Amino acid sequence: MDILNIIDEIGKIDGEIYERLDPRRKAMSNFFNIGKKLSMAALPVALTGMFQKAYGQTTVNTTVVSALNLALALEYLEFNLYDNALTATPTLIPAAAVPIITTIRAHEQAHINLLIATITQLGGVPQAPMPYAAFNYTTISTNVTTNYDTFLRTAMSIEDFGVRAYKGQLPSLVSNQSVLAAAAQIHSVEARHSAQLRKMIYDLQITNLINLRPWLSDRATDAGVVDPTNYNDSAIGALSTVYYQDNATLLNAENKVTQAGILLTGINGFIDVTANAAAQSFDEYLETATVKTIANALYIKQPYQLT
Amino acid sequence: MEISNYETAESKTSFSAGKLQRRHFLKFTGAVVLTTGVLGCRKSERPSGKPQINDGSTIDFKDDTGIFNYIYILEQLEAAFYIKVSAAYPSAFTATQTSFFNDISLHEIAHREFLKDFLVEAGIGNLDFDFSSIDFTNATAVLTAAKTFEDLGVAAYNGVLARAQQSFTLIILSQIASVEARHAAWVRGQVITNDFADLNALSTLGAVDANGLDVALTPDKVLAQVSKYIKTPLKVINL
Repeated sequence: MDILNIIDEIGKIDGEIYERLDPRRKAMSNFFNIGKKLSMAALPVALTGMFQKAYGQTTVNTTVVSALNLALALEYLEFNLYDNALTATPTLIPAAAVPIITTIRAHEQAHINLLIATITQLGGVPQAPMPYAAFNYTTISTNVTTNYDTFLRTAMSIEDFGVRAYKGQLPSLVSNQSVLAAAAQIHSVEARHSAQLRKMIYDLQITNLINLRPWLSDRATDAGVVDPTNYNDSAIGALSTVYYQDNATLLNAENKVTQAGILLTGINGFIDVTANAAAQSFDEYLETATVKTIANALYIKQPYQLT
Repeated sequence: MEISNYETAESKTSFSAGKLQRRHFLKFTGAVVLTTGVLGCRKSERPSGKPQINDGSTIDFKDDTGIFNYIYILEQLEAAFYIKVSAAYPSAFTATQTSFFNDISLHEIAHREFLKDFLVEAGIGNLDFDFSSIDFTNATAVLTAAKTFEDLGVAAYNGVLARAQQSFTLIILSQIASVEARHAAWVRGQVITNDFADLNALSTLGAVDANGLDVALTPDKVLAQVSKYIKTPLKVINL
């Protein structure tokens, strides 16, 4: 059986066959690789699968695609903050910190590229590109483009938000192991970004934040007084939803001390595991609806808001 | 204004997805004996009606219990390491390093004890470790060892997350994974300034810089790298 002949034959009827196949080059290469291992008897089945992909006959997994598109929107949110700072306001970031912000921006750009490629490969339609103008970065202060402290704190809140959002999307990806694995690998990179930004803020010893940690913590005053009832360690009340629970059912604010019904505070006699240490030791997720609500309320302008 | 959300004793007993999911998990692992219904729908390879009781040293990857036992090894290793560090910090440690190491130590203890209480009879026992290759008086040696353990920890979590059979497992693993990534980022920066996420350097642990992807290793590769620290013999099956 000559596969290329068959494709040519279809080409006589459907002039766009190559275009149809081409955007899903991966589908073809997968097919050709499989073809090496398959018997002739099994070949028509594999071939059918490829054409089903090309002609969109198979159902697009909307659960996976929606999860990836939500992630993509948040990647644009992150990328544009860093990109604008590096390109439009080059004096904002001190020279020593430029390589750090450049690295983080490169990661976000790589995530955007990977998400677009993956969504396309899955037969979905990627979220349209979102420019800098789509976003509101002024929740902490309008001086985000001129004040380095504000810039770092804004970036921190967005990374903290991103880590929680990615966590919430992972269960939606279970039908595709390789996509799930990649999402987990993006998720932990975002956590590294958050930790680094928090470390940079700590190093600046900003008033109200001198006890900030690389890990999400209970709020601690500059005098070192920890408040286990306060899950918002950003010290910005307007950002409290980023660190709060999904809803009254899921008590998953960032000061949560009980996981899977197991109380971590003082666990098994380890009295040094305080409520704060217990809260720090597990990060919390945010579900889709909450992520969209927060994103629209704090970071995304009309007409780009998430629906 | 900041809204408060302290989890009260009452709220702990109220409905929570985590608790319900845990019950499913226990049924699935056989920690709770279940003869009909839910298990009947699942293809469990375990003999029916027999609770899963670990002999103390077996990591059986046939289901999520194996994944939890696997990360329990790593959390025991990390906790033991940090406890040893915190017993006598290197004299060259800064106040910040001491303070943050103390935080990390408590996180790892919380992870270890959580897994112990979570796995109960299905869990492996307390492991013995050999850290004789690490000079605990030398700040660089301690920071470098911590960096190794944290990056390996992230690689371990990322490498098994997609194998989870239950969404609950996936969520719990991801909740710890990002904390380990925070540790890794900060500790890396203590060894080499601003080295928080050098994905090129981390490619040996499965990171892909071009795609912005963090480390990820399969359990066999992780265990091969940590085995020199573990004295207790372990059986790893169905990997």
